Parts: sequence; C-alpha cells; structure tokens
Amino acid sequence: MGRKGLGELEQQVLLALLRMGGEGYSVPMVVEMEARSGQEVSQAAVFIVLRRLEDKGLVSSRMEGAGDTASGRERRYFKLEAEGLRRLEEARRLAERLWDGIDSVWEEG
Amino acid sequence: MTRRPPATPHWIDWLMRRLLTSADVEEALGELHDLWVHVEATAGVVEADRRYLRELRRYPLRLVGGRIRRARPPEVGPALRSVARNIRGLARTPVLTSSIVLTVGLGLGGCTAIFAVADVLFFRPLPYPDADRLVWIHTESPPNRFNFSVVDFQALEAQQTRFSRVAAVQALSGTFVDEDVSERVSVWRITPGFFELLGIVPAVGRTAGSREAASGGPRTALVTAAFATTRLGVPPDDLAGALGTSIEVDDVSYEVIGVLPERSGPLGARTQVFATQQFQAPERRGPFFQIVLGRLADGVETAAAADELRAINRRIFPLWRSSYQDERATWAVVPLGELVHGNVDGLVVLLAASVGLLLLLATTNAASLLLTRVRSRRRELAVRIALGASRARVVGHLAAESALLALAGGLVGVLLAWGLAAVMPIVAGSYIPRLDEVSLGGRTLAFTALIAASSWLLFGLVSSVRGSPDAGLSGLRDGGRSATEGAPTQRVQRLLVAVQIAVAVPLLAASGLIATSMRNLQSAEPGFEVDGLLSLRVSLAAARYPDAEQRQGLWWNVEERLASLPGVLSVGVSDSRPPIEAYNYNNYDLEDRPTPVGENQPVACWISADASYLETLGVPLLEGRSLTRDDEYPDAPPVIVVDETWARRHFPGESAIGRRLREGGATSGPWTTVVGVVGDVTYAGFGGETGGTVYAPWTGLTQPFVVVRAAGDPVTLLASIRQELRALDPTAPVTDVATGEALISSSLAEPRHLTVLLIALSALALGLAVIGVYGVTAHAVQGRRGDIAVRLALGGTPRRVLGMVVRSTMAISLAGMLAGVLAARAFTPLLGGMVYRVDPRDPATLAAVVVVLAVVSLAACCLPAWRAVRSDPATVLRQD
Repeated sequence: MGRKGLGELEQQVLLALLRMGGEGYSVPMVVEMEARSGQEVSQAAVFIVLRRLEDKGLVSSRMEGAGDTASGRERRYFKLEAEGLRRLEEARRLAERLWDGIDSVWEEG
Repeated sequence: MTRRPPATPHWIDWLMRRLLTSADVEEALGELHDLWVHVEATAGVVEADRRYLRELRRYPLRLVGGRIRRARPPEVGPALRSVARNIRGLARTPVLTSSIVLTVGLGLGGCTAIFAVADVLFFRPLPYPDADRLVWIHTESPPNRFNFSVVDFQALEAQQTRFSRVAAVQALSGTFVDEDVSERVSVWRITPGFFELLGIVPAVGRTAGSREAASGGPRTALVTAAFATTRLGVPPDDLAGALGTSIEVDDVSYEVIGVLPERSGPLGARTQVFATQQFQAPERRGPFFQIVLGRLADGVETAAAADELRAINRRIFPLWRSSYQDERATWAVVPLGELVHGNVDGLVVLLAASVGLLLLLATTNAASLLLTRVRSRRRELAVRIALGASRARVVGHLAAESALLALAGGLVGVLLAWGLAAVMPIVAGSYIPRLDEVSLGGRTLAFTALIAASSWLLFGLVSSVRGSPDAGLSGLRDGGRSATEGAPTQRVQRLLVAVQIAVAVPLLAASGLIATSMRNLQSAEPGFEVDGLLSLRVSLAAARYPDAEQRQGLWWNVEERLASLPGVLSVGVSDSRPPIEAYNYNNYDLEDRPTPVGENQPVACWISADASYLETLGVPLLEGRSLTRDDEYPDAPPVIVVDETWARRHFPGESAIGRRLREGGATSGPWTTVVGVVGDVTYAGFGGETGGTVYAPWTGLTQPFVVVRAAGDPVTLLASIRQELRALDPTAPVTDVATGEALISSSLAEPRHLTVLLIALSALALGLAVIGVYGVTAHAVQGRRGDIAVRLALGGTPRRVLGMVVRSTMAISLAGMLAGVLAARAFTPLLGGMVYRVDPRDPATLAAVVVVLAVVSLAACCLPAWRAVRSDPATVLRQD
C-alpha cells in the first residue's frame, strides 16, 4: 500500500517538536505553533495528531512526573523518531520542487 | 486559593469516554488543564476558561473526524470508509438530507404503524389459544345481527353437539360500593365456562361452576388484577389475598373466587368484574341481551355447526311464537374476530391508503431532490469518470449514498412507528380494538425494510442512473453551462413532479371532504337545545330498590328537588341521552301495517322517558300531546310518543296520532297507542340511522340519565345538584356529567381525530408537491437563463418570457392534476360511511382541490421564473 505524505497539521506538529529539541510536551508545542502562525491552534487536534504520528512510528512517547504538574496528572512527552525526521525532510523537498520556478511565473503575471 | 478550570460538561465527558480509553481521557484533561494554566497566566482567567471550554467542545468532533481510538485498530475496512465518506458528503447538504430523511421517514413511519395495526386486526389471530375455533353465535336478520336471549342460549346449550363449549355474556355496568365510596364499573355477567372457552386461566383462584349459575346459588365473581390491587387493596405480588373477599355490586354481594391475569385479551378488555350469571326461568323469548360465544369441537367445520344452529332455531321457534314471530331470522355463526373488531376495516384501509400515498409522494420528492443534487455535482462526477472511475462505479457511489438516506429514513420511520404504537391505544383505543396488541414485531419490521427498500429503488436508482453523466467528457464540456444539459434528466424530473401532483390530489380531496363533513357535523342539528343543558347519570343499586313503584317515587322526588333549585328551569329523566347514548332497540307490529309473513318486523330506537324529559331537552311537540306523569302509572293505558322520522316512515303523508302497535313482537296483550309526534333527536350519532325513535313512558329504571335545563351556565349548578342527589341516596354514584356542548363534542371525537390526521397528511402532501414544482421550475430556469437573457436582450418583453417558462411547468402540473383526479375517483370512495352529508365523489370538492393546486403550483413556478426575468441580461450573458 502506498504511503501517504504528511498532512499539514502533522508537518506543523513535527516541526514544533523539532524546534523544541526533538522532545517535548503538547502544551508548549501548541504555544509554539500559535506564536509562529499567529492563529489559535486546537489543542484537541494536536492531541489527536500526536497519537496518530505515534501509531505511524514517526514519534514515540513516555509518561513522566505526576507530582509537579498543575493538574496533578502525569504528562506524556513525545520524542521525534528518525523516521519522523526523514519524512519531514521528504516533505520539505517535495514543497521545494513544487515551488521551484514559481517566482518567475508570478513576476510575468 | 488556587484557581481551577471549569467543570467538564456531562455530555462532553460522556462522549469522550465513549471515544477514548479512560487513560487517554485523563491525559487529554491533564493537557487541557496545563493549557488553561498557560492561558490564564498570559491572557487572564476569563479567556482561559473560554479557551478551555472551546477545546473541550472540539474534542468529541475531532475524535470522530480524526478516527483514533487507541484500543481500536487504526485501519477501518474500505466499506466502512466509503460509508463514512458518504455520510460526510450528505452532511454537506444538511437541509436536503434532513428533508429527505424526514419526509421519507414520516411516510415509512405511517405505513409501518398502519401495517402493525392491520397485522393485528387482519392477520394475527385473537390472543386466545386456538383462536380460529372461536366463533360468535348470533341471530341473523339482515341487515341486522341480534344477540341471543336467555331462551335462545338455554336451548343452544341443551341441544348443540358441534361445539366443545358455548358461553353467554351480558355486558353491563354496575355500581361498586366500597364503604362510603361508590362508583360505576363495567360488569360482565358470564355463564360458567366463559373463561375455559377462551382458554383464560385465572392468575389465582378458580372459575365458576354450574352450582353458582343456578338460581339461588352462591353469588361469585372474578375480578381483574387491576381491580384487585386498586379497589380491593391487594398487593400485586399477593393477588391470592383477594380470594374470598366479598364485593358489593348493585347492592348484591359477590364472593371473589378468582383474579384474572394481567392481560386477558380484547373481549371485555375494559371490564373489571366478571360476575356469574344466574338465569331466572324466562317468560317470553326476549329480551336479546346475551352475547354468545362458541368454541367449535375438534374436527367440526363451521358449515356443519351453522346447519345445526339453524335446526335448533327452527325447533324452538313454534314454542315461543306468541312472543316472537320473526320467522326469517336465523341463527348464524361468524369468527369471533367480527365481534371483537366491529366495523373498523374501512377506517384501517383508508388510513393505509393515505399513508401509502404520502410515502409515494415523499419518495418521488426525494427522487426529484436527489436528481437536482446529482446534476449540480455533474462536474465532480465527470471528473471522476475522466480520471478513470467507471460509470458503474459512479452510479454505485450515488446509489450507496441514497441507500444511506433510505436507511436513515427507515430508522426515523421505525422510531416514529414505535412512538405511534405507544400513543395509538390512548388516542384511538376507544374506536379501534386491539391497539394494545400492536407491536413492532419481526413481520412489521420486515415490511418496513421492504417498503424502505422499494422507496430506495425509486428515489435512489432514478437519481443515480438518470443523474450521473453518461460519459466523462460530455459532463466536463457542459460544465457550469447547463443550457444543453440533461434533456432526459429534465424529462424524468418533470415526470416526477407530475406524479407528485397526481398523488397530492386524492389526499387533498380526502381532507377537503372530511373537513366539509366535519363542518356539517358541527353545524348539524342534534334536535335538542344545546345551551344551558346539563346531563348526568345516577346509578341506584337495584337490590336496594326492588320495587318499580318505589323507584318511580324516588325519581319523582329527584325531579321535584332538583327543579326547586335556583337557576334550574326543568328536569327530566330517561334511559338514553343524545347524541350517541341510546342502546335499546325494539321490534313491533303495527295494527294498520301488519308485517307480512316471512318479513322482518320493523325495529326502532326505544327510549323510556319521563313526562318532562322532552320538554327539558327542548324537543318541539309537532302533533298531539307529550307524555305525562299519568302515563307512568302501571295501570295507565299504554301510549307512546314518536318522532317525525318514525311517523314519516310508517305513515307518510298521514297522521300517526291514534295508530296502534304491539311491542316486542307480542301477538296478544294490549295495544299501544301513538299520542304525539315530536321533532327528531339524534341518538345514533350524526349520520347514524335509527329508523325513528319511540318514547315510551318512564318505568323507573335504576341507572337513568338526568337532564337539567338551566337558566344560566349549567356547570355552576353541578355542586348543588350533587348535594341534592347525595341527600336522597348517598350510595348512588353520579357519573358521566356532561353539558350539552360536551355531549356534542365528545360524540365527534373520532371524526375530529380523523379530520386532523387527514388534513395534516394532505398539508404535508401539498407542501411536498409545491417543493417539487418550485424545484423543477427553478432548475429549468437556471438551465435556460442564458436563453432567457438573450430573449430579453433582443427585446422580448418580460411578460412573454415569463409566460413561456410558466407555461411549460404548468403543463406538467395540469397533466399531474388530471391523473390525480382519476386517482381521487378511486381513493375518495374509501371515505364512504365516514363522511356526513357529503358525497365521497363530490365534484365540487375535487374542483376546489384542482383550483388550489393550480394556484399554488402557479405561484411556485412564478417565483423562480420572475426572478430570472428580473435579472439583468447583460450580467447573465457576461457570467456565461
């Protein structure tokens, strides 16, 4: 079965994880994505995307630190896996190929 | 104090816990909490709370759309995926989708509910063991069927050999007295073997034996479980506690020997007490109050049993000739269902036909709407075909989509039918029997599936096959410009609209007829003055007043005391009250017009009324004199007063005064003389036939109606009337209180229900037909807007262009109406017997329906056409 490319939100989440040093917790990721896009990012969507990425093997996760959180619950930390990194690079190359030469077209128009 | 995020709404929590494992729910809430802390620190608590709730609400939606459930394998089957895709597709056009699902669901629900009723009445046997062996034995004297007398039953019981059992029952009501409280209850007097015949075994206790049926034997009764718990105070789990209790009905004590099970069938379903009958030795053949049931013996054919019945009747006829001469009347036997069901077939057929038409209309409408939808997606579908999807696949996709609609409609229908099944016994239980047996069983659900599938075939396949592009390129070429597009599709759509109109006509005609009938009923002359009338029933315990003279005196007393109350103009007493409560019909032989040998004696409604009854009702005296108190003495010469119908029936163009007759088929005894003729009063319901009414002098019965004419509002008198009656006999319950208006209104309950139902159905039909006409015109105009613009640009007047568009749609409407008129000719006769003073084929109603439909469809097609004409041709042409 053919492997599908990364979705837009998947890409954004992986990039946010990468910016945080390849490992992080979802709330700072949401904050980072909002700061960069200037739009509200749905926490619910990020929650789901992270778990889907984990199902696909692009990230992994572990639970940590029940005592020091505001809610008193454990947090799940996600880590970018090698496959995830590879897929990000692939996505970037694809985007560059798609955009290649567009500037000259625009200038003509 | 540490702040906390708002509480999670219950419904979100409920949904999340169904979509996620509980560990995941905890994680999600933990993350939201952390987000809340972050937002609170940066934007304040108000914003943090808002964001928190917003995110919470997103969770269920995202979880459904994002298809993760960690416990569930991430890969769903392709079939399921395509269903999900179809659902998403339909959800993009919510108005269209919901209108199809609801209208088709309504049609399916109505059909399902009526089928469930018909299933019970026509196909399911009565809920008794071996019910096909159960019969109703009666006297057949066409067009009437009479019950048996005690003489008949005793002869039958002694001589018959074809039945394993016969039983008789007399349906009465009685006054149940419990300490100080007394009330009327339905009491059936049964012969031993009644329950054995039906196969009903008491929940506790036993049934009566022959010793208890013998005159002078111990008085025994069985009661229902409901009666035992509510009236005798026995706990439901210890019904045996009721056994041996003594109950007082009409001042006679009965020992309770058994309690019936919770459900014991439709016969006597509203009866609480089944007392054992004790026959006295009869002096004459009548009266005929015994309902006789039989269970055919094993291996005996109905025909053989009928032969024997006729033979027994012939044998006893000579013995009782002095009190019964109807030689042509025979004994006959029909399935017990005919007794239980009565005359309800016509109503059920009418309802079935109505909802069937509605379903057809809803289905056609759905086909038309879907066709429009598919056409608007032509480009998308053409792209799919161009990209390699086969046409079959596109058709399959469309068919799957419509199958989902049919399925959803089916679900709505089943839900609706389920609701109707629960409501029907309450609303219509009084005139449609066995509604409590209606359930959505396997056969009914299979029927629903079948009609849902048929309607899917109609709307799904028409739209997907006719709507999908033939070849990829043509669809692409047409693209947004649809001037040349889909001529065959247009034809199909026009045909669908014609069908919708054609189906709407009979429904509208039926509702027009029933509405006219209802208006006639409401304005019908009941024959008495409605305003200021109050009536009620007083029930004396027969055992307390054994002497007729004593009762007579009591009623005179009642009249005098009530008449002396301030505000009361007059008071009367009778065993009947208009417009539907008269139960006694008598046969008689006229002195001047003796019944020829071999013919049935005339029968008329026979009312026992006191001297002031007719005056209190406000019935005009037309000829002769009214009844007087002197007529009520036992030694007074027998006289009667008759109504106009009776006088005209027997003595057209002559005076009925002074004519004489003998009652009840007696050949000897005194003649009864007609002394007066009064106006007609309705006793058998509006439209009911009584063959005229005879008023005989009051004989002091125990459970009469008392009628009171008040100067003002009669309701204000009720308290003082009750008080007077209580003073006379505190144990006599006062029931069935009704003003004149209430009497009329309650007699119209059944036609009113039917009227409301048919008008609602036809309003829906009209609405759907209008949507259809509007849709097809709008689409045609949309397709021809370039054409219209060119005509307008070239100087065509808007009027002419408008006329052109409207003409083509109206042609379809008119064709539909023509077909509809023919359909209505077949449909409206189903109303026969249910409409009052209207011909079910009334051409005026049909004409009015056609005019209404023409006007409405003209409006529906003018609107889009007018809009097209008003648009600026230049703009339209530029767009294209």
